[in-house]
Amino acid sequence: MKIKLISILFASIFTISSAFTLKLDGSDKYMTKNGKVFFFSHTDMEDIKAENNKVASVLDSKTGKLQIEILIKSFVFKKALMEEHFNENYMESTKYPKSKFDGKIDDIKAIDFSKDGTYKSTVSGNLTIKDKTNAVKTNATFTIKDGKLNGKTVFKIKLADYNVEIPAVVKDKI
Amino acid sequence: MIKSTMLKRIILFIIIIGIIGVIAYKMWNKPHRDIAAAKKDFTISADAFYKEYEKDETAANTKYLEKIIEVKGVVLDIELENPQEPTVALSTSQPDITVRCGFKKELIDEIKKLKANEVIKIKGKCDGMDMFGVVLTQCVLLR
Repeated sequence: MKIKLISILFASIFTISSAFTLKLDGSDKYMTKNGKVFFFSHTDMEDIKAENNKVASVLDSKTGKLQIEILIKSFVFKKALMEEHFNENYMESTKYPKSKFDGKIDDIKAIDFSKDGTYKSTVSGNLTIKDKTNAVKTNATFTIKDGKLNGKTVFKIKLADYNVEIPAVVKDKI
Repeated sequence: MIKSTMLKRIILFIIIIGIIGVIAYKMWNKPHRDIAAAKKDFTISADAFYKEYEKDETAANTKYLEKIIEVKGVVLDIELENPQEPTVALSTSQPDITVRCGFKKELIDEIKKLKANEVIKIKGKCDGMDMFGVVLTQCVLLR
């Protein structure tokens, strides 16, 4: 009953959006230890939202190489039950505690880090969730302000691409 | 006679539906784990904590994930760039590696009072390790 009640609420597409403010550290590296990632899943019954404020990210401003690491257990949901289901049934976060993005900002040359401004570029690379890696490409917006870089991007993820199984009881309802 | 049996059934039915409703409602609104009130599972120094992770991340995760850890360490940095989660970084023997302890935003005033190099005790939930070290969230200060 527990599973039925809640699991139908998770749709088969997750949206992960992130908003990082990265600070210059040393020579060419921008980084954050407390970046933010939102998790969003829309369903007919209710929208499911969660937030993670412990995202680690490093950007090499010369090469555009971008690394992001997300600890799944740091996601906070409004409802404890949703958090539990997200961790146990979907992400199996005890077995797979970390998700990663390893890639680059494609248009890094177009970004002038020395002055304030807003830039659009695609971000491409490998996204690993539950030890399964897929190539992804998505649009991103970067803003330079007072020497800080703020990046915004959205990843749309199909559960099936990352071995996220929907409990059999509820499969038909999604 | 027949009428009263009917009535009893209807009342019984309503009671059962009511009980199911209450149980479902309680399950749905189950409260979050109260880390502040929870008993600690482990007590460890920040450096020893990281060393266990560095040695074998999988083994350390098996041991510590989701557990309540009381960690003792030296404040290296107060990280306030994300206002949603003020963070205290405790130093380890590795220069760029810390144990990052995330607090609820309501506790920001308490965090701001801390000073670098102060020795403190923090209790929190272990979320694992990333490229910057070990992460605890939903922390409380123990002093």
